[in-house]
Amino acid sequence: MTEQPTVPVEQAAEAHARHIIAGDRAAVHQDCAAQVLQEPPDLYAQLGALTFARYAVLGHVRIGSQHVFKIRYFGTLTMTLHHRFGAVDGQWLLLESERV
Amino acid sequence: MQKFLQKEQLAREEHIMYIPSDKIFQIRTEQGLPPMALPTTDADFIQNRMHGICVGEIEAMEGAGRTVCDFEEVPWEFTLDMARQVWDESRHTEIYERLLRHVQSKIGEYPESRILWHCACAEDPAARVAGVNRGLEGLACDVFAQLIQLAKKLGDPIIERAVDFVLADEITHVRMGSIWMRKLTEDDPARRQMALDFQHHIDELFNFRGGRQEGPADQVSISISREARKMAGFTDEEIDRLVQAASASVAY
Repeated sequence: MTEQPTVPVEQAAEAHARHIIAGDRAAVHQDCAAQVLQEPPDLYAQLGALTFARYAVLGHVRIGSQHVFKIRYFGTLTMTLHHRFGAVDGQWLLLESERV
Repeated sequence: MQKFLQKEQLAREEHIMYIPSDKIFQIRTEQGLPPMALPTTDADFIQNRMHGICVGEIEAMEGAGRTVCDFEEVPWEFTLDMARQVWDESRHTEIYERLLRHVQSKIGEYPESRILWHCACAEDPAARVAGVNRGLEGLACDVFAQLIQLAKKLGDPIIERAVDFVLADEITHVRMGSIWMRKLTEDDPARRQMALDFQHHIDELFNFRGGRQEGPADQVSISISREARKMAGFTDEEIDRLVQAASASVAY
């Protein structure tokens, strides 16, 4: 059985959003599972080229034991993403991000 | 007012997240779960199911409302029946919103697939009632009868009785749909066939890749309710056809 994370998933999602806002690529990379799905496929490359001032968590749903967050990033461009998190070895890791 | 809204035009509050059903199925399958929640595999089955029904009621309300707005060249009594249905569905939405609270959940805790709304986008009123009143409300008969059985098993009279009240309305919606589908296609067998074909397409969608089948309420995702469907006026032949199509869907 997969070890369950001790921190709330909301905390992991907000940390990821803060890393995107800060443009901290290393931290963003650490938030992700080995094979993170991106839609469009170069989503994180696009994010890296943009500057965001703030974010807002708009929604949070459960699918099985995974969680999907709807987060809007505000900056030169406003972008809304779905981030899917799952428990991997006792940590909440990002499995997928999709622009919606 | 714009008529015939497209599938993508449904407006929602930001916290209600739209995720297509195929995507939800894929995410569940990745986790080793069946495409649809089952009482045996999902600890939050009741919350998940209640949420699906609640957003389904909202979509049914919107679907019936759009039918009032979209079609002018129909008998006035048809429009009146659809308006009556909007009223019913709005009550159902309130009931399920409160039932969600009763099971410690809330709107927005699970995704909305909007599959029911997509069924309400047919451009012919006969097809619209065939899809919504016979296909969608037929599904509601199955789902609600199953929920009543589960509530009895759980010893939860609030869910049992509330869902029974709603089921009684859904049965009248199916009957109303059958009457209007026949009346609107009188002397036009080709149009009636198109409406029925649309309903069969909707039924196939609602088989949820084998999620709907005959079986005990606590063992299958959606159990086909012969009793509720017969009360709603579906014939034995129609129910048998649905059961056969559902089992073919399992193979698919």
